[in-house]
Amino acid sequence: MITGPRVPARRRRRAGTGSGLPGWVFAPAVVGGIFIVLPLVAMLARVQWSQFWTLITSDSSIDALRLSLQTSTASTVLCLLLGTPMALVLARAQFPGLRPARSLVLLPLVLPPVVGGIALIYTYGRLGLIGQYLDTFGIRVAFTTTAVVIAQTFVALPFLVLSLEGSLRSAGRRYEAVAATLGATPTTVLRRVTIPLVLPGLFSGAVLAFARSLGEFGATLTFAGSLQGVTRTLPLEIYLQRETDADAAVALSLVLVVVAVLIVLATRGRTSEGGL
Amino acid sequence: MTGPSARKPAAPPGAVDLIATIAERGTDLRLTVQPGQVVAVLGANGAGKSTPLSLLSGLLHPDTGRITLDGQVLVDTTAGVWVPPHRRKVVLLAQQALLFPHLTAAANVAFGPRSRGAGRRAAQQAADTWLAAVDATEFADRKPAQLSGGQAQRVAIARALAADPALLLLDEPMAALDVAVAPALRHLLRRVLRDTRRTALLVTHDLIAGISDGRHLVTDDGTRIAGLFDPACRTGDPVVAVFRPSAVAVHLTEPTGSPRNHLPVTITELEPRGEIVRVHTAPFPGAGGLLADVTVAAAADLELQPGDRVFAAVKATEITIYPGLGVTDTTAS
Repeated sequence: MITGPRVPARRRRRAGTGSGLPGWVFAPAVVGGIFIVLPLVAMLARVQWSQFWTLITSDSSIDALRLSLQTSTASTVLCLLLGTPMALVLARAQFPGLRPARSLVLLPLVLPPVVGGIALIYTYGRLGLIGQYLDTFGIRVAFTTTAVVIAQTFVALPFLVLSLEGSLRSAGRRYEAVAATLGATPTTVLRRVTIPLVLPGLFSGAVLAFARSLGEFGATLTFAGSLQGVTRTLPLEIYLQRETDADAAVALSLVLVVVAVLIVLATRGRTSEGGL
Repeated sequence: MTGPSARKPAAPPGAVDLIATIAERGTDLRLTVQPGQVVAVLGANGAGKSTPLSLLSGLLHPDTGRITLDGQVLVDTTAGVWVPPHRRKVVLLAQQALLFPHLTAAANVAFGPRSRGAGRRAAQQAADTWLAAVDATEFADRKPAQLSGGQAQRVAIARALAADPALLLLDEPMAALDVAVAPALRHLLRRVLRDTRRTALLVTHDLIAGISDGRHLVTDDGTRIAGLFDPACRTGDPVVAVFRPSAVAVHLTEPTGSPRNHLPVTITELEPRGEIVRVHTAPFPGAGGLLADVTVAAAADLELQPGDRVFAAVKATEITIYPGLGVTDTTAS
């Protein structure tokens, strides 16, 4: 038998040792990792670096980028305003029908975005459930920038709710109970204890919602259309450019990839455990 | 806001009258606390002894019952009265300090006064005062993560008292602490409770800790222990035998002769306390361990060591039997 310090040193270098996992698990895990990274590498390889700056600073590109950032910011704010109370109710309140309510709220997560867009048309469209009344006041929502924000909020809201609800549940109610017995009203408890405690979850939820809004395509195209500077966000612009100018599409895609990487880094850096 | 050095009021607040049943837990509670008393509620883990604390602090709704504090009805199930926790002036000090992790120690202590409407400066002053009262001034600017368990619990005591509760609930506040830290903190709690004439309800699974805290927490005569119950009591009404550690004698062999009550015990710790040595013993099922105070000479003479099997004896005349005094719990019977 070999003795001496070389044995532990060699063991340490072997993958899998110490993880408690069987060695074969690493093979499919590595394949999965390559599956995700390879397409990004392939796209990077196609980027025409000489024209890159020109491509991403064309009028239509700038319009799309600006519109995307504006609408995604607006929908993230909407998600925070609506989603925070929703998560609080789902995590803390008790009433009959809470479980089905949670399932319904999370529906946009699993719904194909195109279907979401169709549903939004029949709600806020000119002949829609609410849209017909809005129309009598001269308010038209469909095919406007507002429609983009609505579509993005619709698909992004569950991300924030889910992330925040998870944080609220893991934070527990003990601190809130202590705060209440110390004389804090429910509003004070919320403001000074609950929200500060789940701030990381709120942050990562907001970042996820922003990312989802930024990438929104199906519901936006269906409900808001594709008008340059009005409803044509970056993903729509990329899809359109792909038909005519593949290089521009690749360049703009890279911009979205960079944004996505920044977002992932931001959430991972700020929170060790995210809801999603 | 009453500081620790404030003038003692003629009659402190904290008169409690509690009658409550909870079907799910099989609980039927009756409890009376006189203002200024420190009442110990004893019971084995899982006996539901924390139930009165949850009921009083408003974290638990009884199925039926009525709770009053200083004449104010907090809960009345027949009249449909329910006062939410934040309007009760009942503060809970639990096993974990549960300091708000995002606030400094000083901000934690100032939380109660701020919540009850004190201005920023007044709350800050109260925090300073109370941190000083628990000798934690040096931790004022630290976050809870930078405090040890004992330090955090000291800040928690300051926070509880800064909220100026009419009734202080203590749910095994020393149980999670190091044996080395607990006595000092117990001493501190006793001192601040006595200085402010605070009414308190203490819950513990440790019979001896309950008695010694109860005795220590109030004045030294021990007469203000109002109600003790031990669900581990097997027959008849719940009663508790109360005696001072100094009334316990330690023998190496089973004592015979005069009418003595004795128990075989195992020594777990010897705690020097000046001229005496406090002998801690292994806990009994459903209750805590025993404490015995022996002289240093006797401890040396008997060569007492942790792990030794000895006999603890108490003279019958030194034992006070307390009836349940209205504190009953059907889970016990």
